[in-house]
Amino acid sequence: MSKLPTPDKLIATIPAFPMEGWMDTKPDFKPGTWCYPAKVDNMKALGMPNPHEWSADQEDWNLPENWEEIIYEGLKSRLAKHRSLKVFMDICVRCGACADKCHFFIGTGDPKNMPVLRAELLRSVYRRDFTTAGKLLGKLAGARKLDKDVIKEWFYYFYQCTECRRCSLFCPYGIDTAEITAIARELLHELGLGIHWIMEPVFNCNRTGNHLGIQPHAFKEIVEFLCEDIETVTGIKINPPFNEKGHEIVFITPSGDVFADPGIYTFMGYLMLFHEIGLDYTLSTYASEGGNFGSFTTFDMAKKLNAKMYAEAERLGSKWILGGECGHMWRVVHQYMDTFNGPTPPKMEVPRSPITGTVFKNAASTKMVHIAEFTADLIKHNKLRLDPSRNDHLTVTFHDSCNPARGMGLLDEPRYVLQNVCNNYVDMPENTIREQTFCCGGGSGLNTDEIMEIRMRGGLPRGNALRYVQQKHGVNTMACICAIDRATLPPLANYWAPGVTVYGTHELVANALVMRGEQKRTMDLRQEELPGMEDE
Amino acid sequence: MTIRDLLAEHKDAIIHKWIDAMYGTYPFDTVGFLRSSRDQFSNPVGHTTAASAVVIFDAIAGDDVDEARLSEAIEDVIRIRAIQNFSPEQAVGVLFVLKTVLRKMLRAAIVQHGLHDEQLEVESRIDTVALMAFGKYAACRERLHMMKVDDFKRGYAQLLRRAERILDKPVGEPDTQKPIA
Ligand code: SF4
Ligand code: SF4
Repeated sequence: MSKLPTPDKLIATIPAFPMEGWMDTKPDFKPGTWCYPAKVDNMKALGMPNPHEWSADQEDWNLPENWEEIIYEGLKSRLAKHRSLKVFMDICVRCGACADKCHFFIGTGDPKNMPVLRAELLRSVYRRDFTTAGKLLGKLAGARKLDKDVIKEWFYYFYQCTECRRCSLFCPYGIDTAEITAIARELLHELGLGIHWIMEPVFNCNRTGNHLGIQPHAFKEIVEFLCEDIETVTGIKINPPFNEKGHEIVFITPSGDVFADPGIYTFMGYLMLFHEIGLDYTLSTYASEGGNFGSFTTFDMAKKLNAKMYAEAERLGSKWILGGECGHMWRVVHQYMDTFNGPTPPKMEVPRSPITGTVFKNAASTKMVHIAEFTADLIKHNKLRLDPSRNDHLTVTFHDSCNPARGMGLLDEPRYVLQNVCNNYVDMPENTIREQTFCCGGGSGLNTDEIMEIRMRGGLPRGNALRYVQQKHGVNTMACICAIDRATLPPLANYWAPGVTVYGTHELVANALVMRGEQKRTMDLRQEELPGMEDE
Repeated sequence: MTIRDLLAEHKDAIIHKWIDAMYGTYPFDTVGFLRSSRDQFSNPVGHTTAASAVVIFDAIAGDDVDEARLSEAIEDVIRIRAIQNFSPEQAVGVLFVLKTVLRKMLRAAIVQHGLHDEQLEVESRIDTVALMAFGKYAACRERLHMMKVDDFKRGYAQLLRRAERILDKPVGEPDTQKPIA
């Protein structure tokens, strides 16, 4: 028999993390906090190193026997390859400016989610093996021995970083924790540790070109369903070209836009826009995926999966690539594609809008234009007939996806588009948008449902800002330009700001787009009645 | 002297202590941030906890409450704690801590003025608030599970549609019963 604890005692039983010193505490792999491991068969098929069975909640992760050597060599070669990594390891002065800027720290309250400590998880090992002070002084110099618990901790915290880069915005030295995370994940992959939610799409992409592994005939059929829906709403029949040679543009977008709700409405929006302006383009069932989960795996995998874009542009003889609304796809295109897959095929040209004549000099080297820029340019040149009043029942705010915002500076174009197709637009508070935007909580391949709790923790700061504008300005719509957002924001809104619906920007464009020969619009693209436009 | 007077007199100190106790359920290295960062968007957990504490305190102190406002304040805190690294007891239990704070701070005055009956009434109101919190906690967890199901459905929406066209019936319906031989 024992005495019942008081409520105070009961709630006081949280782990005494700080008292023990951060190096000595271990993560608790509770259900809901860790992602399921990748399938061994997928890892083998992809030629990933050391594929094996393991699970984060087990004591023994079945690491390869020489795991320490693998990490040592892996880190050594990456330090030599990425000068940035070496610099990031050396120059942090622990000023703490980044500490409270991470959405995972803000949402979890776990100090190891402070970017400075996240990086320290790798840095402490680096110090021991690669700095003289660390070798001599050990713990005193912030160095620590690599043991299996360190590997577990890496897995726990480097899969609680969405590589969003918000922290780097505040670091006086520009230390980019996202890059540290990317490299730490590479090191984990050397030991055969990867997650299913990332590796399954990688495996599928590698085989069929898209995340769900949809084959060309099914891809085409599904696009045709969407065309039927467009006809229902507008009375206009669209037959988009597939894999046709000789068109000026090849259009590539994340496959989530074709298969998943609510991305499909955005995809319908693209098709309607292209039809209306008479764009000379083709879709591709080979480059049927703009997203690149390889970029959450290793740089080599990112390069491999991305290669299909230029290969397809070359095969089809297209002059340039128009890309759909996506986040990480654009990080890869904007920051890595040149190095990965460049130079572009010789017949490609600097993109020039065939409608307005605008030359996208910013895309001179990649030859790839983001559709938000393309559409903003159309509107700027008055090339679209728009009836924003069709969106009058919506009060819209815009979520800046981390990658287009911080990765490529695409801040004003989507807002310009939205403000032209919607009459009621409000921004969220300024320290939560544009460069300072808060992540959706599920970027970098963490949008899997087994960690819904972690996603909600990471999504808390975004949800909090959304709820604020919902309460203050009656916002009921959150627009975005990212396919992962279209998957992650609906539950985020459902939890933190119930009543807010998530839209792709081009869905709202298409709702407002007045098309030649269309029937009177009484429904939006979701086939919901447009208030005030009902049949008389 | 009524307990209402006492609560009014010590309002700020009580709320302060209670908020500190709630912050104290987070790791030590995080408490300073929760306490000191004032911006409601940079520090939503600290801000929400503090803002809700005031509304809840007012509700347990007086007789007339704006129920909608109280309900929202409770929900705001619980919605956060329901998905953080807390057991259900830890998530909801912070409301009972208000009792402890009150007892500690007001004991002498309660004895001196013979306010025990009134104290019990206040504590009952805390129980009510805690029960409301329990309901909200359960609703949050339920929603979390539904979100997983919805995630799946959204992700495969068009594939399901295609399957239904091929099979010519809604996915998930049993195949037509075969005649028993
Ligand atoms: S990159 Fe984003 S998720 Fe990662 S530590 Fe920095 S702020 Fe946090
Ligand atoms: S802001 Fe930069 S230098 Fe300061 S602690 Fe963070 S990573 Fe280190």
